[in-house]
Amino acid sequence: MTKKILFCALLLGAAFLLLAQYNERDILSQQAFQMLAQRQFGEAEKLFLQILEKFPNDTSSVLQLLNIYYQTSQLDKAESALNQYRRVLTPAQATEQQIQLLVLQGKPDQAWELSQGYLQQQNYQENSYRLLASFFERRGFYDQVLQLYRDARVKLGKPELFQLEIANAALNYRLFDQALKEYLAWLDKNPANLYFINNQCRAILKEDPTRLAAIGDFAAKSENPVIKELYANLLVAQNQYSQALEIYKALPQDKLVRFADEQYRAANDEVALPSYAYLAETSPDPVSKNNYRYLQAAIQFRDGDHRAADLLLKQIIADSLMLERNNLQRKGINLAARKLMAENTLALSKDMDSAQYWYTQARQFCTNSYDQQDIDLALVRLLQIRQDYGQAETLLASVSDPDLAERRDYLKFSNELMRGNTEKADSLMNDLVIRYPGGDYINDAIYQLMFALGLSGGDRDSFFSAYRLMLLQDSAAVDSLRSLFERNQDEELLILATEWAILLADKAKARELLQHQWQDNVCSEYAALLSLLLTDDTSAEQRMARDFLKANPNSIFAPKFRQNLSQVNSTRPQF
Amino acid sequence: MRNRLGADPYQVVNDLIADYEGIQVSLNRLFSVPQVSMFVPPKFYIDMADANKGYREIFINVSELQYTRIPEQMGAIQKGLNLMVYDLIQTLNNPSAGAGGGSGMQSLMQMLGQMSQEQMALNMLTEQLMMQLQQQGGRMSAAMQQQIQKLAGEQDRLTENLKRALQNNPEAQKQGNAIKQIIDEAEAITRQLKNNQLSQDLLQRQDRIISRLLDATRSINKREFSEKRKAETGDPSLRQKDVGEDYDALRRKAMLDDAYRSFPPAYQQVILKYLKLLNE
Repeated sequence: MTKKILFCALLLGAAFLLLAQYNERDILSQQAFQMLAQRQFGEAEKLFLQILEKFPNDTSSVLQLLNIYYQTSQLDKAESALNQYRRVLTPAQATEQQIQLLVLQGKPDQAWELSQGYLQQQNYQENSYRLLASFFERRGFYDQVLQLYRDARVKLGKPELFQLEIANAALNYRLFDQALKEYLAWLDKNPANLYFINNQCRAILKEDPTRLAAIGDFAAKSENPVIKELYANLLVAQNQYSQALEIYKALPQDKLVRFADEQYRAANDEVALPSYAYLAETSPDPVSKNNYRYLQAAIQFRDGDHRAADLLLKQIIADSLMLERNNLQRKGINLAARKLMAENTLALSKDMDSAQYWYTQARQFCTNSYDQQDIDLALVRLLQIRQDYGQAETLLASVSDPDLAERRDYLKFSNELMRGNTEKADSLMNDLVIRYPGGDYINDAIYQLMFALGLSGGDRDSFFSAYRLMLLQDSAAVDSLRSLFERNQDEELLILATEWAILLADKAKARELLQHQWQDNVCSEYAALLSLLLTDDTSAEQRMARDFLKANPNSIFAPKFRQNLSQVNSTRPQF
Repeated sequence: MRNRLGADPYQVVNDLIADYEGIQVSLNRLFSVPQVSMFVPPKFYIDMADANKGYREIFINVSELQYTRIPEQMGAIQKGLNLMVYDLIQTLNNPSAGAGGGSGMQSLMQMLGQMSQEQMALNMLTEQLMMQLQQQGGRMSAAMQQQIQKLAGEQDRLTENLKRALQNNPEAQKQGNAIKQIIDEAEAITRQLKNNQLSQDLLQRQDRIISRLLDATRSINKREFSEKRKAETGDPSLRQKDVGEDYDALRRKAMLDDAYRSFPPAYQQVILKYLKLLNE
């Protein structure tokens, strides 16, 4: 019995000691990894060294320490650490580290020699090839990287092995033919990765547009629709819209619909518009046909061609098939078309009564309280234009659908701001941030409030008068804001006027406003960015970007300009 | 940009990269002015970290060809950016509500409150080290010495903040004697820690700092209260309640504090236990 107690006590004592040791190592390791995560390499190094002082056989700390030295290019330290702790590592780990170090020291031949022995030891495992290739890739020794992958294919008898890896390495090495061959072959087998391959091919075409022909040849010979789809997408990237559409016309219709929707979302209207037009023309179902008409109208409205939008919407509304009982609510087209008609009428004729009429018409096609209240919110805008803020407030109070709450609360804020209740608006803005911190309206609310607070009485009235014109989609809003700027010389107002002109699809006016000789640095740099975005000529765009970067390399907008000049392999930043 | 995001993330990824880099340039520029960090509230850093995390996760997901969580991560970015802007506007409107600068009674109270939390965390870590020292039979390991030096650095920083407040804040100057006593005590602790002297006396000194910080806060609170009420008589029960709530409020605030979060989980547990004891 006494022996048992003694044994238990010893066991407990040993366990306690182990636990205490574990805790200390655990705490130090956690601290070290925290430092690593914060990229505080010096601190992390100290902590790992501290761990190794107490626990010299801690393999993980040795590997982390070496990694820190590699990352911070302290190769002498890495060499000496590797020599010191080599015995702690397994032979395979030690060789891996040695190869990595030789590569980083710029000794690819020695590293290659060591690699061959290592591969033999590892029985030529697939992962060993991948690991070694990643070491050589780190210093851009692509000859060795590609050779390793080729050797693996031969040695393992798998001619399709490492397609993606070879393609990526070849792209980085600017061996575009090889990269394309491997990417296309990989996509053929992995059609779900269309978007990624599309992006990689676009990067190649940005460097060398003549490679498009090779992709076209491959697509012509391929039976795989995803390859044809890739080619069509690349034609879009090269602004060859009609050819792209012709390819899609030959593909199953769902692919064309998805393509059109994506182009619409990306605001590539030059290709989205004819795609929807083709779909409208060829769809036998009246609801689908009118859905595509509606989408065309939405594009025309966005692009400021209100007459074209009007014609399309009238076609939908006049289509008697849409008023057949089973089509009344299908896809919500009748409702959506009348709501857009109201918006478009307002933009076209500034006639609020007509707009109100169309909203009333739209109500007939509402099927639930969300639809009804959505129209109520649209009517609030008309009331705000009429400066009937009291009625707007009442209407807003009646909106209770949770999915409309964010928009309702934003309108409550803007209603109070426009009627001059700045303090209440300020409080509502705070509520908006607290309730919907990730909301789409926060930025607008903050911006508007800042303007309102920064302007004096008369100027504030002029600002809201311009804002009401903007709600009416009236281009006089831009002129009104410009006049206000001319009075008080606040360049932020001119920037806002430019943004309004862009929103109203009046590029000429936006360009004219940007001609101003900017005094404020940030405004000046942002104005340069807007000018760049408004440029249609690619070579002029590149020239503008280069000139800007030369003069303002550290501007907060510089990354946007660099994006225009970006080269291959830019899908991930350095952080 | 969220509206532009469809099934193909590459439609927006280059814009996201440029935005991310632009934000980093803006932040570097903001913090290149040393005084800024005195005014920016801690909340700003949390929101900044959230936004940056959203960007990084998207970049990692894109490079790993995993797209499903991108819409959610874009939402996190928008939230982080919205709140960063909001935090900065709040700071512009009320600079004294920032990290410890500014002037006036309110800012001094906030600063003292924050210092109390930080001092509490330091006290608990010291106590933990003291226990460890006793367990090791009084033998101090290199790791422990390093921890103690870290504590000394933190204590020194708190002392410097108090000195700065005494120089710049008229309200702090009104509390001159009390704050000077805290500074003296804190300097003595720093010296002891720098010499790796862990003792019961040191712990008592640290406890005294907490009491004095709370006394100073109460004193300002009381003055503010009587100024507001002018000649009216204060309700003693109300003041008593405030005193009782000091620790509770500190406990809750400590859990949100950046310094608390930077400690290893084992230490965080100790801090929480300590605060619980204090509250009992």
